[in-house]
Order: sequence, then C-alpha cells, then structure tokens
Amino acid sequence: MVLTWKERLDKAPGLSADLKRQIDAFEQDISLRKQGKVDERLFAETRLRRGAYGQRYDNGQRHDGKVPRTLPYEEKASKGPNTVWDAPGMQRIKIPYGHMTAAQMLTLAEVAEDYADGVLHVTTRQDIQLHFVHIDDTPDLMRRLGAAGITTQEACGNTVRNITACPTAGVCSTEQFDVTPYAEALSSFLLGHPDAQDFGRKFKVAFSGCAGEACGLAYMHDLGFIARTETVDGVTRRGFMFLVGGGLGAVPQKAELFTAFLPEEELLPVSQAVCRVFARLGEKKNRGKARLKHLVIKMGVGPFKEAVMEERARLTVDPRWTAYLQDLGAIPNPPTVSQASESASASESESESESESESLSEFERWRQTNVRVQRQMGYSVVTVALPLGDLTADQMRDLATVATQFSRGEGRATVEQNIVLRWVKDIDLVDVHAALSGAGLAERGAGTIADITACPGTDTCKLGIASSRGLASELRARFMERQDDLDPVVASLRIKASGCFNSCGQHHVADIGFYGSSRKRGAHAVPHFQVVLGGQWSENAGSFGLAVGAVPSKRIPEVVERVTAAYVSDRAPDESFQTFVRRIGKARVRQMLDDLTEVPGYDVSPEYYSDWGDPRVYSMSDYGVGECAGAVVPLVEFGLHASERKVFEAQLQLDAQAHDMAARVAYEAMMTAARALVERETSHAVADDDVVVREFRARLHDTKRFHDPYAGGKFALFLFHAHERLDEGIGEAEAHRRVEEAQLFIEAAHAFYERTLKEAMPR
Amino acid sequence: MTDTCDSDASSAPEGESGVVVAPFESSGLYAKLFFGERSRLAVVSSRAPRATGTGGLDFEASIPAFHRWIQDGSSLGEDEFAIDVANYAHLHNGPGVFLVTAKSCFGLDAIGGAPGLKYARKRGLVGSPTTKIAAVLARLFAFAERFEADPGFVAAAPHRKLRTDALEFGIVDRLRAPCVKATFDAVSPPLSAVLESLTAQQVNLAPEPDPRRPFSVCARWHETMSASAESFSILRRRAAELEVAGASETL
Repeated sequence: MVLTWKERLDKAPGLSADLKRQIDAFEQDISLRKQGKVDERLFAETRLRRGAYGQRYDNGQRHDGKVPRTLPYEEKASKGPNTVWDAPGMQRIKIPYGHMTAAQMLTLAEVAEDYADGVLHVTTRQDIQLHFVHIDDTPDLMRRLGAAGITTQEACGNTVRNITACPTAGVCSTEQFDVTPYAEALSSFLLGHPDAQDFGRKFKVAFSGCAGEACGLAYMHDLGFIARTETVDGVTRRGFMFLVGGGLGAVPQKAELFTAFLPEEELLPVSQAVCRVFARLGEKKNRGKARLKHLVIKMGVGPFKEAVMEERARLTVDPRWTAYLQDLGAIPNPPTVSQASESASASESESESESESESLSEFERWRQTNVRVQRQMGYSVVTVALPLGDLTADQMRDLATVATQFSRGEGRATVEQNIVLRWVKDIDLVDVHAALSGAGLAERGAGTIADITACPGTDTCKLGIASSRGLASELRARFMERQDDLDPVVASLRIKASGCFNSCGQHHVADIGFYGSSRKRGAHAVPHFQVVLGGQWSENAGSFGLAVGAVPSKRIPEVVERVTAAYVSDRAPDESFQTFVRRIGKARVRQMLDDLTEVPGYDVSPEYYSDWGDPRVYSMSDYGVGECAGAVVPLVEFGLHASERKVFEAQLQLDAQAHDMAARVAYEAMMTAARALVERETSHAVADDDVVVREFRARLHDTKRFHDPYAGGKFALFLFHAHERLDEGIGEAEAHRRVEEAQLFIEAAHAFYERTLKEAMPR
Repeated sequence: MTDTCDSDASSAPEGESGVVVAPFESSGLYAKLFFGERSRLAVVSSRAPRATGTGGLDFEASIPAFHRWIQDGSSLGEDEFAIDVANYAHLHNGPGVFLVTAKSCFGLDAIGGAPGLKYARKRGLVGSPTTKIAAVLARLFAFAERFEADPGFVAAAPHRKLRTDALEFGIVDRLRAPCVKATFDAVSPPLSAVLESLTAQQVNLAPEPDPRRPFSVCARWHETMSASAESFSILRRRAAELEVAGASETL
C-alpha cells in the first residue's frame, strides 16, 4: 500500500490510542485558538500541559543593545497572554528518571533536527528540551515522539513534572535497592491522573536509592523517596523514607519527614492522597504561595500528614497500586559469572597496554573522572559529559549506536545535565572511549568543577536576568584548560548557575552557586550574579548555601579563583567546603570579595556592561513574564472546554451520517461538562457516570442552582434523559436533537459557571 | 561522519517501498557553502576554539557581527526579520553560531564535520520547486556577500575561505523528504536545473548515504569565480531572478 507521510504518521505503530486522541485534541485546540474560539489563558495552560513552553522574546519585544525593538510578527491569535503565535518556543520532553532506549534517542535526534535547531538539551530534571520550535509543528512532533513511547504530557504547567531518580539506580553500590520500577510505576500512575490535575503550582517528585549520595536530591522535592528496608520478625521488606514539602525557588525549603518508613505497597496510594490534599487545600490564587511546601508550612507537617492519611483511608482501591510489585523480580540483566571473569582479564590487558600509547593515557584520564565501577563486578557506568547539557542530533545518533553496542541499548539523562551509559563491560571501556571520542563525546571531567550545571538563563528563558550559560561556558573553558593541574579538593567541587533567583540551575545545593541579578550604575544596568556558597549536593541535597553578595558577571571567574584558593590554603585537614565556608563565615567571604563588587564607569570599562557570550549592552528590558507555573486555570474550565470540543466532534459525526456515534459523543460532551461542574463541587475526581448524574441532580438540579433564569431546569433534563436512554438505538432525528441538546446543555453549564463566579466576587 | 561530496548518485538509500515523498511540500530547505583552506599567507592569529570539531572556525568571533546585523536592521529577505543570535560554539561538529529569524537561520556551522556558511529555512516558503530552491540560494548568497564584506565575520574563519565550486542542499523534514532515493530522484532535476543556470556549469549531485540523517545532496561544479562579495552578489542576483521566474512554473 502506498502511504503519504500524513497517513504514515497517523498509523505510526507505538502511538497509543489514548495519546493519539490527546494529541488530536491538542491540534484541534490549536486550530480553535487560531480562530479565537479558545480563551488565550486556557490555551496557554493547555499547551504548557503538553510541554509547549514560551521562549525569550515571544512577547514580540527585544532590546538589540541600542534600542528596544518590536519584532514585526504578523498579527494573529496569541499563544497565551502576551505571547505571539509565530514566536519560537521551547518544547520540553518528559524522560521519566532519565531513561532512554537507543531507539528513543534516534527519534529525539530526528525531531530535534526536523522541528528545532538540531540541538538536544538535557535539563536538571532529566528532561530533554528543544528550542526554537513553532507551535504549529508541535502536534506532529508529539506524534513522532509518542510512536517511540515518549510523551510530553504534563511536562510543564501546574502538573506532576518529570519524576527523577538516581541515574545509577540498579547498578549503584550504595543503594538499598533499585528504585527504577518504583519511579516508573509512580510516573505512569500519576500521568494524567484525575487527582493530579487541579494544582495551583507544579509538583516535583524524586527517588533516591540511598541517603548519602546526591543523585536523587530528595530533600529539595515536593515528594522525596529514599529507599529503605526494614526487617520485622525476620522478614525484610522494602519501603521508603518519605519526605514532603521540599523545594528550591527563590526561598529554598528542605523537605520535612513524613514518615521514616513508607511500605512499598503504600507508595502509590499515599502519593495519590497527597495529590488530593494538595489539590483541595493548596493555594490557587497567589502563585508565590502555591507550592506544596507552602501548604506543609501553613498546616504543619503533623496536621498535613493527618489530612493525607484521612484522604488515604477514603481512597477506592486501585489495582495499579500494587500490580507493578509483582514484576519486581523480573528486572533484567543480572550479570553472569562468565562476563565478570571476562572483564577481570580485560582490566589486566588494559593496564598492560596503558603505557604503550599516548591515546591510552588520555583514556586513563577520562576513566578517572567519567567511569564509575558498578555494583555488579566487571561492569562500569560511563558518564558522557555534555557541555552545558547540550548535544547535537548527530551526537545523539552516535550515542545511540554506542548504547546499542556497549550498554544494553539504553542511556540515562542525569540532573547534572549529562547522560550515563550503564552495564558497560570493563573489557569494552577502551572501545567505548574511542567511539565517544569519534563523536566528540569523550570530554573528561564529569562530576568535577569543570562539569558546570546551568539553566538556559538569558539565552532562551523569559525570566533570565543574567547569562548563566555564558558564565558556565566561560568557567568551564577556564577549568578545562588546567584541569590536570587543579588541586583535587578544588576539582571535586560543584558549580551551578541559574539565570535568576528561581533556581532552575539548582544553585542552592552547589558548593559554589550563582544566580543572576542586575544592578544599576548610572544610566546603565550591569549584569551581576549573586554568589551562594556552601550548599550541600550530597546527602540528597542535604543543606542549602549562604548568599554572600552580588558581583558583576564579568568578575565571577575571579570570585571562583579567590574562593577556591582560600579553600586550598586555609582549610583544616579533611574539612569539607561546606564546613570551611561556615567556619570562616559570611563576613570573611564578603571581605575577600569586596573589591570585586565595584563597577567602573561605562566609559572606563564598557565590558562590564555586557554579559558573557552576548556583546549587546546589557538591558533588563527583555525580562518577561514566566510561564513556569502557567496561569492557574481552574480545572472546571478545562472540562467545559473539552465538552465543547466533544460537541463539535458530535457535529462531525452527524455530518458523516453516523447517527449512533453522534448521539453517543453528544452524550459524552454533556457528561464531560457535568463532570467538570460536579468535581468543582466535590473537590475530587468522579469517574463513574452514574455518580456524576446523581451528584449533579442532588447538588445542582434539585437545589435549582443550575436552573436558567428563564428556561428553568430543562437543560439538566437533557442530561438525565440522555443518560437514561444511553443504550437505546437512535434514529437520525433523535441524533440531531441529542446534539442540539448537548450544545444547549454546555451553554447552560458555561452560564452557570459564570453566575457562580459573579456570586463569589466581593460586592 | 560522512562527506556527501564523495558519494555518488547510487549511494542514496533505497528506503521503504510504498513511501510517497513530497519534498517540495516542505519549507525546511537549506543550503550551505563550504569553507576550504585559505592560503597560509592569509592566516591571522585567533583564539583557540572552545570545542573540538569546529572545522577551524572561531564561532564566537562571529557573535558581534551577527548582533550588528540585527542592529543595523539590514534586509534579510522581504518576509524575514531577526530575532536573536544562538550560540552553540561549545558543541563538536555542531550548529556553531546562528542568527535566528522568524522563519529561518543564518549560521556558521560545522555539522557533519564540514565547516560552512548556511541558510536554513524553516517556514513560509511557497511556490514551485524552482522558486523554493532559488529563494534559499538567493538568501545564502546574500549571507555570503555580507560575510565577505564584514571583517567581523571573516575573523571567525581566519584559516578558511568560502568555496565557490560546491554547496550542500538539503531538506530537513523526514516526513515529506526522508533520506531515500525517491527524494533524491524528486529533488535532483529542479536542483540541477537551478544550479546549472546559476553557474553555467554542469553540476554533479551526490546524495547523503546515511538514511538516519536528514536528506541532503552535495552539488559540485568547476570553479569559475573566486570567493568575494562581488561574486556572491552576482550569484544572489541570478538566484533572485530564478526565484521570480520559477513563480510561473506549475506547482
């Protein structure tokens, strides 16, 4: 059969019917928004929930270094408040716990080239981001990803974001057990879950295999799970130390202990219960107070826990809570004895040949920083260090080839913006290094001071104040040049940079952190970075650093020089950087950096007035409104909008003479609107249609609240009638009537919703 | 990494049977001029590049020139305006540095291990195949003209000079233009016609052999003019004429 590209895409194997429906609906929303039939606020949150995010200058304004300019886009419907339709955007792609198969890597490379700028960016939440994407291209992009088993659903917006986990889960020597299946199960369970749709803000979850390492960063998450086992009466069972209410942002908050041991079978239901409590009691109007951490602080962790456990007790049992636990024994890839012995001999042969060539010494240096021994003897984890978290599509393809050949066809993105290859046989390390070198991916220094984490900053983020990537690039280049000469205690430090106070670069938990700020000097603005010292990366982001003052961006390399030099010369034996910073104190650090804070006049040193990698005279006028939280669109509005989409579908079915289907879809449209109104009343999801009708009748019809001022209660009767006659055959005239009734019911639902909003407004 | 110029027409991947290609339904057309070695006498000192695989280009040196381009507001093409400059100088064999417009990019890159000057269209290209190809080439030559005339750009390629005997043409749109023989067969006739009309030379086309990569061809002809702003100005004007002439073709 001959197929066009569109037909091939529609029939793409691997694209689930549910995801296909969602993407089709999103494409229809795009079309409706272009026609002005969807409110821009609602559309903005809709696209955010599909990972389609705004990007710098998408308000149509840009300062070119001399004057602010209006970018002359053709006037069209906006993508959201103050967001131009045709302006390039960012597409965030969810990669749960960073896990990618080689086939998925190939698809990611393809869509990066076809729809973006050919570069894939690994984020600090193990996502992949693409930049310079047009909104019109996103449905096809999503279909192609969906066919590869990748979703963008709930990658942004007020949703459960990508669930993160240690990239070495399952192969790490310090872990209690492999958290991978738990992270996978919770990701699947909460994705699109009705109880996780009505948040006032985003919601972040992380898993860690142990308490001591950094990888999971459990203390800086809304929900943090640290693997634990408990032995009672000789029976060992798995569970988690469960933390709630952590977060970074402008004011970081360390998570509170919810329980020291949450049994594995309670992981999903208790998480669901937290979602319900957060949706019901969390702040919705003031986004600055809407994260879970604010609710935990407001209630106190004890009462919060009580509320969660009461909610837990009310939940209807869901078989998914424990179904995945039956498969835990089936984790693949246990090492074999023969492989282990194979690798032992490999190590010997490597050491023999080490002295033989110069290239092998480069290999050895790479191995020191980028290779970590696995728990399973004979295997290693290789970290592919990505400068600024970026790799090209060609590199991603090469990496997929290496993964296929050497690491069981998979890789994992890390929160340090790298990718790890696991299950690499020690015998293969030389070949892996050679293959990575050929792709320009064998940069050493992973996990060292040269391996700097940075958010997008002013490069592409609307909220960026200073160039975190520019700074990171500069510092990285300086450290790479002299990494062989670095004192080991300096080499082991972590630097993280954010473009603003919102902490996407996780500066609070770095040894040396920076976040962008601005200072005025005469008529000019000067890019600065606030210096944050002594954050703790290990112990799951165990403590946050101290802000010691803002320094002009161009003098930050000197800050790093001075601070690290002081650490080398003045530290006590075995003193950590955190302890050192706290011992010498903020006053001494400030004194050390004092002269660096001075800004010469523009005429004397104009270089201070532009940022790293950006020669324009610095200006704050490009600073925009972020979409990080999205607008808080009440869930009921999504439901009412979905009902309109459905009634439109019913019209199409009528046009196609599919009367039974038209009547069915019209009924579903009414039910969608009714459900939205009922859930608004009950503050929780209601799945069953009978319950929706019963609740609708009791709460809205019998009380006459839904009654139209002129038509009375007749619109509700359309719903009840359709519900009662659902299974009856239907003729053409009846189908037409049903579709018209659905349209009227939805209008009435909108009118009712607007009446209640007016009633709620202060007089 | 492959060098498409070294392949021949038979190296185009066959691809799946039953796939209909529609390369000129796409707007994702690009064209790239390669850099060749410059005479040693002309070499000036430059900073060490921050990544391997830059093809000898100092990408970051071009950033001020791109920003000046935005500031002076000079024409990028009738339907385009500049948005920003993207910097990927840190990537091996990467997209380097490019000017982002509402519908395209103008950049210095080293993708595929081949350093070059590239114009990549993303959206809004209409007309016949001839019109689309000529429109992309006209903008590429306009970029080359500007490059040769601006010392700020030339500083980014101190060891290199633009070649005038070859270019790469591609379509980055796997749905409509997969990297298969059928696409090559569909693209070759109008591309050859346009290039032969521009250069007055016989043009040899060699397809990208790796089916995983975007579709592209390397076009080669005998060199008849040296790289200069004047030469590229001539080529730009000829391409613009073909763009107009192509509008009368049946789509």
